[in-house]
Amino acid sequence: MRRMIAAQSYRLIHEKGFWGGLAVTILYALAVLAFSAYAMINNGRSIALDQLYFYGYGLDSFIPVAGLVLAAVISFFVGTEYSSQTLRNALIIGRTRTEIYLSHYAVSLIVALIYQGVYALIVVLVGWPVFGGFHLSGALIGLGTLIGVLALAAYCALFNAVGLLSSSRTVSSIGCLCGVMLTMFLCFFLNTKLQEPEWIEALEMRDGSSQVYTLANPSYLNPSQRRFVQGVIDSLPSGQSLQLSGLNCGHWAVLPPISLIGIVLVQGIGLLLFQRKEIR
Amino acid sequence: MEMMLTVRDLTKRYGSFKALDHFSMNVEKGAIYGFVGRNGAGKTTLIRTICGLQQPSYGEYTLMGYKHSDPQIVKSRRRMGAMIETPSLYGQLSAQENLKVQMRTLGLQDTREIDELLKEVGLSHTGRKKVKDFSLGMRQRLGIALALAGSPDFLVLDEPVNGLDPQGMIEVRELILKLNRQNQVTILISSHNLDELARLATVYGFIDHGQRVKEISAEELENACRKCVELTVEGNEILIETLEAYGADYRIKAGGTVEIYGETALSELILKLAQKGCTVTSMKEHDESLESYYLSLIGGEDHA
Repeated sequence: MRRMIAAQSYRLIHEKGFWGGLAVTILYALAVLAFSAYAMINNGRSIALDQLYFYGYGLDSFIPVAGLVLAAVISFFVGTEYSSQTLRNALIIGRTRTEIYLSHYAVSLIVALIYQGVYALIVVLVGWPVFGGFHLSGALIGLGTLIGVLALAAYCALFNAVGLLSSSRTVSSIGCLCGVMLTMFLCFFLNTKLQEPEWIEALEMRDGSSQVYTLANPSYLNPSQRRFVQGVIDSLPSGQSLQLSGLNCGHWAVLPPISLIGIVLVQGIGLLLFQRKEIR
Repeated sequence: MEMMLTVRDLTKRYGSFKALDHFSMNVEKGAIYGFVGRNGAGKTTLIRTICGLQQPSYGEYTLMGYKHSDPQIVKSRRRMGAMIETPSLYGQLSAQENLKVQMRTLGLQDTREIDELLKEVGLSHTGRKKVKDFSLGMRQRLGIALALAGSPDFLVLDEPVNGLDPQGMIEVRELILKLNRQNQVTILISSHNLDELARLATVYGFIDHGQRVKEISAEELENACRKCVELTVEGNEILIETLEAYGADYRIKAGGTVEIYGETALSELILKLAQKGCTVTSMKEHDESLESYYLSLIGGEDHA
């Protein structure tokens, strides 16, 4: 598998998409710093470096930027094996399907780590003198980074599976991008549901006078519903990225095992289906 | 004799359609096996199957001593190279970069071999030109170079001269012969260019509707090919009527020429034709070509 990773890594550095994704990541990091500095100076907002650091996984609890960039780059990179039919070359000379599958995953992971590493480096190096250092403890920063990296690894597992199981690069690229966007909207919607207050105020007019009273919010989710919705958000890489970027998750320790289980499941199913796929 | 490839009762179904139907063949070590069949006969399906891209529905094949179901067959595959239909190339990379990817996949780092391969197929001048800007012939040459990466003992080429100019065809032919004679590389070639195949193959395998029609050595083919007389006349109808009356074995070719097989009393035939007002404009004697032999085996009724 080492040979396959070496071969795919060589191809990666010659891939325009990889360098395009890196450029987008650098521009994103600089934009985050620039807009945050502007908000701090002109509007007097207090901005912590911690928040900017975790924006690498998503923008302000709404846009999973890392997921979108990886969706485009990885699905295109992996999907090229079908559009150019180069998957055959490795199979003909005896590389196993497991080697091919896992080596593509490994290279996808390398892409994710490079992009995230570059983002973090730029934000910390440029942001530290401007915004001050981290406020969160090293342990929490470390845990948050682990959560983020595993969420990206889960993204890579999904995009790799789609790329290698779909015979069309176009279909896999569109599928991955749409998947990220759909889960982004889903997580936003579900989060909104979780944010609904338990009690709401109502105004009633009676006999010419108004009366305000409190009543139970019909949109408020009951405890089991809340657990289910939170579970859905936690199980999606987009959900984890967005929670992390907003620093609004109260149960960080649960997220890494969920990602690991997701990665193992997706890899297992993806590999099984890839073993049986007929290559033309 | 050591066999590089043995195929037994191989069947491949796509739904209800049988692309290969209990197909069997043997490729001896050191042979140049010419694989011949019409479009849709099953040639590429067989090649895809023995290259591990698809699993057979039934039957088995053995590649350099390992059965297809044996996980150890990967050892045989590492001694194999193939080009199936169109070359599989990364359009964004140059010729050299494509070969580097393949060499790394093989676990090799020798850049000298890359330079030699490019020189061998006539692509050493391409520099940093991207493959997506290559002509069809250039892509074909690079596909052959990729198949040769790692110095395989068994080479499978599906339509290797497709898109090549006459000079390119000669170069590929000479390369194949050199690989076979000097390096003892066993070669399986599938081609529609029967003239080209006739200059290369030591064994022929004919396939039709997924079944083996015949497997014959070049020597046996030469003995089996019948002598024939090729007549060109003004107006075939009288000639055909006369040949039918004689009970002669004949075949009508394009351009109004008729091939007559077996012993024929030519003088009598020409006199008969003259009496009926049919003028013979040309007469040639030669051996039956591979094309004629192939048509007599497979049949040309679809084009009648």
